[in-house]
Amino acid sequence: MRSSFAGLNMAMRALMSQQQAIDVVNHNIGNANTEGFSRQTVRLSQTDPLTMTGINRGLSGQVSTGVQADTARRVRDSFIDLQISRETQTLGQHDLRQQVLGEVELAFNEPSDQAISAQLANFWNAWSSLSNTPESLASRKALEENTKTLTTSINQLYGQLTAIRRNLDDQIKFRVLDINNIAGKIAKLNGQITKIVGTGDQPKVLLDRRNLLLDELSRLSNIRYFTQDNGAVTVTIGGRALVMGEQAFAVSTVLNPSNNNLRDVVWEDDQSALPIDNGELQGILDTRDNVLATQIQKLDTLATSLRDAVNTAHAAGFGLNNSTNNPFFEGNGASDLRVAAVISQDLSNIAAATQINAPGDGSNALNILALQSALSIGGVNTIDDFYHSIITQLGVDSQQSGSIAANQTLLVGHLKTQRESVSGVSLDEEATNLVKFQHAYNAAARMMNVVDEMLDRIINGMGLVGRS
Amino acid sequence: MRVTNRLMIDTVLANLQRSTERLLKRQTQISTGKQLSRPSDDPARVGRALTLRSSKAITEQNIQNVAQAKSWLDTTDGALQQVTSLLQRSRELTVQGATGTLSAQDRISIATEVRQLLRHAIRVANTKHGDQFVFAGFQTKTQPFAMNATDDGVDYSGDANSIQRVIASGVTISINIPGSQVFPELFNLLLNIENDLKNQDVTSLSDQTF
Repeated sequence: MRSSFAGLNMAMRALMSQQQAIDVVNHNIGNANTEGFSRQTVRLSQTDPLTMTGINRGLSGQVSTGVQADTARRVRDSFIDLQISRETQTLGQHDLRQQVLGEVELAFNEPSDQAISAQLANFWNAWSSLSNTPESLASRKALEENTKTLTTSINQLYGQLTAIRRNLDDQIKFRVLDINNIAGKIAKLNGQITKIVGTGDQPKVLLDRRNLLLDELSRLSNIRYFTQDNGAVTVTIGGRALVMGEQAFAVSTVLNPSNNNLRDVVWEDDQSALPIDNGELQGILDTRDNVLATQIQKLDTLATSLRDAVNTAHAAGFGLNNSTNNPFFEGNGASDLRVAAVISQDLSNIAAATQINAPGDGSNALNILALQSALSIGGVNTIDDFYHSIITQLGVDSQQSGSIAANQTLLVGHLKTQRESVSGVSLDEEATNLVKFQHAYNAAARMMNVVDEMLDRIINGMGLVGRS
Repeated sequence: MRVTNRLMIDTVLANLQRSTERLLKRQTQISTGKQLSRPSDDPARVGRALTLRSSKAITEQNIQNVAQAKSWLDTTDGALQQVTSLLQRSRELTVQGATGTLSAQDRISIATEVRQLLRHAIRVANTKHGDQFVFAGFQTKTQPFAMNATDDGVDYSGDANSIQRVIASGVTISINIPGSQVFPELFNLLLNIENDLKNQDVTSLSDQTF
């Protein structure tokens, strides 16, 4: 036989458990739009039954004692988290590449009538015009002006490419700060989480926060992470720990003198290189050291080839004033290519003729014009073709990064949909649960009343025999 | 699949974003009138467009070159036509001068006209196209023909070079006739006729060939 008061206790447990479940629903609804929130569920279970002994045993056997609510758990699929982390790294890399290549495309501003390809054409045409009227100073002036426009554009493009490169180098500094900052936060969370896990509880909010940070960190670099039994997460880059337990290992940058004093990313404690192969950092390093370095180098090749080819032909000719052996271009490369001072000082020095005392001789101008179709670059490319190939290559690179980035965006989006499907809050579901738990709560309250009335009957209504 | 409210919103937003991006691309194409505004729009076609653009620029320049060469040749042609009519006139005068019945005085006055023809011939030989002397070889800034100091011959101060013009990629044509190839004979002929007329040498006049 059970105690007469057992019903009260059972009803109280029911009230408390349903209330707890309603609280969880409340919390879920409140955080339906919170970034990184994982929905929580509360599991209800039966309390342990009482086994009656002796005469109390009666016919009932074990006596049920009601319900209890287990602590709420967060619903999360850590496998999806790991996939998102990896794909976000690739997304970060190519998003950044695409962004940088977009800037480079803007700098080239091709195809257009104002950019270098058009100016190159004008430059050659000016030689063609000069060959028509070699004795005319107007033709010479036109040639000088067209050449100045071309060289200025080449100088400016070189400047812009170098500036983009420097800017990327600065971004490395900021990304490294971000990494250290996030790693520090993760280490701190690790400390708090292990303490709570030690008490047997689940630090739901802290875990959500840490997952958000891991997502952020994934965008930046090629991290791997795994959770240890004590709840701490270990984050590694290239096999070396960035965060281990409560300790974060700082990352820093050093200037590399063999790479134009641009920054290398290293571990702070022993200055060894960080093996970066993905994430935004890889995007920055790759565009800085490969894409832009190649573009700049190719632009230099273009400038020096143009300079050398034209100068050689020009030196062999004669100016209006019979001067010879003069350069047409000056400068060391794309950064400072310009019309030679000797030409600007006296346009008569432009060597249009192949012989002296021949003002009407435009044959050297024709020789220089012939360079337009000469394979001046490596014996395989004309200067025009070489420039066009720079543009085409840039287009291919940019297009490729764009489509990889678009694919990764889809993939990450899909994975996030999966995560949302598992961990997201469904308001319909919560509303339904709310109704369910509220009814149970109301019924439990009614139960309490019933037990109360029953006790009232026993206490106040029984044993009145013989009373008046 | 378990579908949540946020999942629906995120999916709709992502799709809208993609559509808007495509819309922007098309609107840019419409408003700029260009299908290719940056190399990544279609690298292969941009490469081809660049090559075509430079071919177009070369061709446009060559059209100008051809027009200039043609106008030079027209000038030369005009000058040579004048030479023809001049030759005709001098022939008439020679025939007239060779007539036995003519008085010595008449021959002298014919000789004066021949001298004028000679001066005219020199002016023709000094024809300019714009600022350039057409019959001077490379010496386009120097007047190629002038009477010599003793007034009995014409000096040539041009040279024998031929001027080349580009009319297509790698194709050049020569557009000039150095004056030394055309005019000295003419001048000598006129000078001889003049001398014969002055010397009343009818036999020699009859032997002049044109």
